[in-house]
Amino acid sequence: MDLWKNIVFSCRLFIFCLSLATALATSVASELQINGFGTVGAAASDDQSGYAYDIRNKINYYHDTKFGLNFSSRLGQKWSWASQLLVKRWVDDTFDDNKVKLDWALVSYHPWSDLSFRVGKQKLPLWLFSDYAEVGFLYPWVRPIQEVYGITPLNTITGASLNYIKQLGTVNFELNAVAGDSKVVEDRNGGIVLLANVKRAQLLTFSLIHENFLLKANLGKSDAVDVTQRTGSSSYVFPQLKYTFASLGAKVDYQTHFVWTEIVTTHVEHLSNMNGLYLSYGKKFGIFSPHITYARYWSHNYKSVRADTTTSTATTTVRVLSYVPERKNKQQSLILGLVTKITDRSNFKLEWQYIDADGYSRDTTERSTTTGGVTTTVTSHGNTKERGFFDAHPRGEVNLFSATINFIF
Amino acid sequence: MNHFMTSIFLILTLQFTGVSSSLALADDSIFVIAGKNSSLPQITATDLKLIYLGQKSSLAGKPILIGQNESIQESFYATFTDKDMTAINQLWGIVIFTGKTDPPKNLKSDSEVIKFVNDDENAIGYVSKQPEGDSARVLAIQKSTTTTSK
Repeated sequence: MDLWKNIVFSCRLFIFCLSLATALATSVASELQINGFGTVGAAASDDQSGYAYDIRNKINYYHDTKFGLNFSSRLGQKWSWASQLLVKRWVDDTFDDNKVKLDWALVSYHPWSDLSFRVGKQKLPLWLFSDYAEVGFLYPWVRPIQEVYGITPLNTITGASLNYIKQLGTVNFELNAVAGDSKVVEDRNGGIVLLANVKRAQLLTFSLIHENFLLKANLGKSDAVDVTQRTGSSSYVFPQLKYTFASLGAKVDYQTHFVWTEIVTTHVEHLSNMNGLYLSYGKKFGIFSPHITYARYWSHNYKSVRADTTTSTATTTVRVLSYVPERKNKQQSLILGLVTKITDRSNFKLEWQYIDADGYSRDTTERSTTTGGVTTTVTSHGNTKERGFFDAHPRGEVNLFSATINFIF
Repeated sequence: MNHFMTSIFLILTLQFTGVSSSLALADDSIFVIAGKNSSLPQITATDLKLIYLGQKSSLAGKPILIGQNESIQESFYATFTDKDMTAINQLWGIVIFTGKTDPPKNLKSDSEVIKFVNDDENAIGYVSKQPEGDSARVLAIQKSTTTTSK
């Protein structure tokens, strides 16, 4: 099976590289700008539970490996377009599929120098670096911090956005407003597939940008999210949920010191509340940049009905109420990493992550039987341990080791 | 064996630190230019820094196109922005891979930069020598204080 996956992955990579060569050849004769990025990685933990979908106690070469190709071009003075192709292990209902997909594609209109509009499929700048989370060369960790970036699979939106920039001395104030729809399919790898139709999502982003720091605040909501949770053959639908999210992040790069920090919160009406934060500090010593990060995630589900079925015979009525599991889930990590510069456009990252995942989940089912006007109710519970971002509860604290080579061109 | 390992270490160190690269442009000037018919104004060092760090995309209210001369870019960025090329590539990488604005057009030589700025009246670029005759307008001159690798 692994051999077959390797063959399929290699073929797709070959086709991708062939496309790259063709595109590069084409660009010589046109104004098309072509850039790209890639990460080749390996990761393994000391536990058999899958972390962030599929990192287990066996070396995984797929999880962090990805390649992207970016195209952009001007269309006269005020118009331009850009798009990005991406090949990686997509975490959707075709879980092991490494096919090339259109990551985003948009057309921009710049009526004035400080204002622009964009239409198309675009990255949602949900958290501090959600819009370039695929490009490993641009941030210090092997992968985005799961305690924050693992909270929601929502990362692209099809719609329109407005971007306004006001220069205040050496600081730029930037306002970004995005609105649109999105469809999210996520395989949670524990036998649960999550499908979410996100409608009328709106996000406001305020940023203060300086050459040495970035301060970014996000506030967003979606009026209607239809969530379908499939577990085996059974399927639960949560229609028309309201989804709100907010975040505050900062990045400082001063002389040889760098700090990244972020706190985020999301709330799905009647379903769950999820929160995450991290604080990271690093220092540059020539080509070496060691860094240390503390991250924390905590969430809980609300007790609400997810299934209500009634069956009747001539004498008896049986009503079964199934509730969303009452759930408290938490995880915290300590990450020690080292980024080593290879060239101006490539680096090598080594990382050790110590993960402590905990919590519990409590299922509740009420079965009411009415016979001859008399109702008897039996309530049953099922308790399970929660698991952070693992697909099953790990045996204890987990050590995770990762290495990647990252490049852009 | 020890000599062999020491040699390997030295070669790797020289490769990583760029010491083996040839030195060029010491004490040379860098000329920031626009096309000969361009109406773009003279440019301050602060504005130039903001433009080439991706924080400013207009001059005198006009959206500008920027070109960069790959043969002297390390020296240019060190002189005007105090940042190394890794930091510059990361800053521009964010712009490029989020599709925010037009990235700088990579050009290979002074002559390509001169052609680029003359093709668009709102384009700027930088060259290592004073443009000959009226082939381009000089918007700023800065003495390069650093070395660069070729």
